Amino acid sequence: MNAPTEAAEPKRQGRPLVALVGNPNTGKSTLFNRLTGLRQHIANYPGITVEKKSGLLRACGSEMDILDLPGCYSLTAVSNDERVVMDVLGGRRGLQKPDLLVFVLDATNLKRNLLLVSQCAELGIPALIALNQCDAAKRNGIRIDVDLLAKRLGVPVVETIATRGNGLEELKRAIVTALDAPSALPKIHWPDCITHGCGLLRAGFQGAGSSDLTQAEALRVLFDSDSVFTCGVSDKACVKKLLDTAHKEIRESGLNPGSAEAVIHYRHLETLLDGVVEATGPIARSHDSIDALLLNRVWGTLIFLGVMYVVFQSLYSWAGPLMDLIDAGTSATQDLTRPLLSANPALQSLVCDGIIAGVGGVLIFLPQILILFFFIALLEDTGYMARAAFLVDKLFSWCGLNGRSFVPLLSSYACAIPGVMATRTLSDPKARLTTILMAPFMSCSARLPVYILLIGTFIEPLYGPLVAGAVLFAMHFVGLALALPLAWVLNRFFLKIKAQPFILEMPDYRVPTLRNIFHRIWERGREFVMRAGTVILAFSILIWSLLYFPRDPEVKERATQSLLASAALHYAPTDIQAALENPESDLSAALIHHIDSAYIEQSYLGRFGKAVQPVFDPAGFDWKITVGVLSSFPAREVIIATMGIIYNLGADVDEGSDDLRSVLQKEKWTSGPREGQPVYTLPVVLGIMVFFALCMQCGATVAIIARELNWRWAAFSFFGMTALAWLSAVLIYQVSSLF
Amino acid sequence: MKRTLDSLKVGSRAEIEDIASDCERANRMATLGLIPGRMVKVTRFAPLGDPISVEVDGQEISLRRAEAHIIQVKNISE
Ligand SMILES: Nc1nc2c(ncn2[C@@H]2O[C@H](COP(=O)(O)OP(=O)(O)OP(=O)(O)O)[C@@H](O)[C@H]2O)c(=O)[nH]1
Ligand SMILES: [Mg+2]
Repeated sequence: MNAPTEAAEPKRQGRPLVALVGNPNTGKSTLFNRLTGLRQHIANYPGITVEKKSGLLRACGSEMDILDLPGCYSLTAVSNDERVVMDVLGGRRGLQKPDLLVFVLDATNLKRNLLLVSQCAELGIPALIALNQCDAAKRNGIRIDVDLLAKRLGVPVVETIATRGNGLEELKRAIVTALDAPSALPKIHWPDCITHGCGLLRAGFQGAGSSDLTQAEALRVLFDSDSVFTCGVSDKACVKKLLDTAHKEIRESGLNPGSAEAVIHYRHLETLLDGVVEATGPIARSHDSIDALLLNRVWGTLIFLGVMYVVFQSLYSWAGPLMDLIDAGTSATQDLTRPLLSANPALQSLVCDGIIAGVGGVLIFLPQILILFFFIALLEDTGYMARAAFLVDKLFSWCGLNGRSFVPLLSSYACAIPGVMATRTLSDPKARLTTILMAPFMSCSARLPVYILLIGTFIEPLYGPLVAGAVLFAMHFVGLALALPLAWVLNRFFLKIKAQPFILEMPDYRVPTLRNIFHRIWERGREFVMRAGTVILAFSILIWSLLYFPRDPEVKERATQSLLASAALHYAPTDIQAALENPESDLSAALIHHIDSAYIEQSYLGRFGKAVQPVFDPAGFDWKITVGVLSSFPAREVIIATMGIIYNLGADVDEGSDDLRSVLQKEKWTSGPREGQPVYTLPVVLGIMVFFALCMQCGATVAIIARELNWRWAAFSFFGMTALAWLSAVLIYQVSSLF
Repeated sequence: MKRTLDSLKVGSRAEIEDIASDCERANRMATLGLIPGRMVKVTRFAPLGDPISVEVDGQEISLRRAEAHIIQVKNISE
């Protein structure tokens, strides 16, 4: 049984490969964590963004690699999760074919869990059953005759309780034994119409010159015309004709080709389970009475709103102090290192303003990511997530999203990074893609300082706090209001992926385990820092260098001279001399700010800003706003600091700074047709805010989208949102200039 | 006229007769236990009326009305 696999594919490191397979939510990952501890390695499957978790298992003196596969109900490869399972089990895409499958089954729902096992029997890979959640089964009054089950299935069956670690030693022993003396599951006996249909397909594929189909693959093509096996075939019409013939024959023998596979498997399983499963007394499911409350029209909605409020509040406010702490830590580190490197200003700036600021910029996202994934793990482990999706699905279904989009989109209001990462809970690839593309439109907390600065400076003094509040509120919905219709358009006309039916299993309510939750948080945190973090850091260093170089010393000299010349008009030379010698004096500070400002103007990014200012001219942006906008592409909150530098106030201004506000109010055009007019008119201010609301000014989000989808989608999202933002700003300025 | 699952009221039971749809959707539903011959019970509607939740073979499944619409039912007891 083992020999052909070994011959066909030499095993890496000579260790056997064991894969954990099963329905969603049966306890595979819990078992995997128990078996491997933290000896895990998380990577991505080639070409798809489903994570590949592998770990090392030591048992009875031998070592093996264990693979934790995503959960799936059947071998129908529709979602990415399922595709991965198909690829691994078939040893496709250069993946190593497992030597042993450990099916992790939920004992409370044995029949449905066995459907996948029954399908996999066709693959002929040696197997072993871990009958998990035995505690829950017992509680529900379900008794299972394990020996009889093992006898009927022809493979060993081990009872486990993954959450408590019960049955772990037995399972390890069984794995080692099964690797030595493998036993495979008996194949199902198919009706003639299906065997015949498979024969037809196999002959047809051979004729079409594509790679030969095995019996197992032919079955997949027969029942799942979208299956991965038809992807490689160029002659789609030929496949369709073959399938039509085969389906017609199935129909003629009284079966529906759509449900035939499940019907036959379930029929087989019913006889197989006869006398194995015994439900003692009425099934007392915990969830009926809880559901009556949690899914109630009134109470359920209120509780849902309450739960989401808690999640959102904690992202927004609990993360705050931690983020401030990280921020303070970053500044402290910068202050500590700055004097050490004062001999080399370029190196000093690279280390402090580039690297340390960049690392700080990565770590700053961690609190929100960890908090969000704490809640997601909690909501999923208790079984509430599926209920929440059920409650709100209708709000999202019209535009191609679904109920599971809610949590990612809500969390994107705090920050799009954890929001995009949270879309992993969507198994439908189309809905997931759409949700990811919509997430950056939600008004994240980094946009808030920009709104507060501009509203506080221009709207509140003119229109009062009531209007100011209303504008701030409205700004939080601009993105959402555009995102949902956009999602609809995207789904309707552009995305060529087939939509999946939104069918959810309502899992039993469970008491979550801390161990599981910790593991999930740890995985996500580590993954973010290791993978997205590196890209974000690279971005920060790139932007730093664009703002730092070329740093011509002449710029400094000219700036100094011009400032001193204007100072000489007002003060006596001796006063100036004294002020310059005292680094605390106003003049010294002004000089430093003046030089910084001149450097920014002369930096690559500054020159670029001046060069592209004509692009932003239709929106009424001058070159300073343009540079501010450009420099905030890596992270939008940077604009406040950049504005501070450009307007000679130093980098440590914040959105509440009175200096910055009064400078902005007084700012006038110095040249061009609008010379002498104020720069920040109402349309310009609104334009800037809408621009920030719609633009993807966040390198970290681009990086995370590239990681979750690919660079093409990241680029699409980036350029699409930038274009949309520009268009909206121009529209606002131009339309309001008409009045 | 054939009755479909989405036309049932909360609390009613029926037997699944057939899944009238393209292969993949039918396959997906059948996998989760919605197969001809089994009894289904509509347990509740979501607050906004869609999706609906049904019980089949001891498990609770939620599906949208559009999907319930392709499931034909018979022997309805309301
Ligand atoms: N009562 C009980 N709960 C369990 C047991 N094993 C796992 N669970 C719970 O089942 C839930 C799902 O566990 P996971 O390990 O994430 O399941 P999974 O199979 O990896 O799920 P997917 O990755 O979504 O396919 C968690 O809430 C676990 O705490 C068990 O033996 N008994
Ligand atoms: Mg898992």
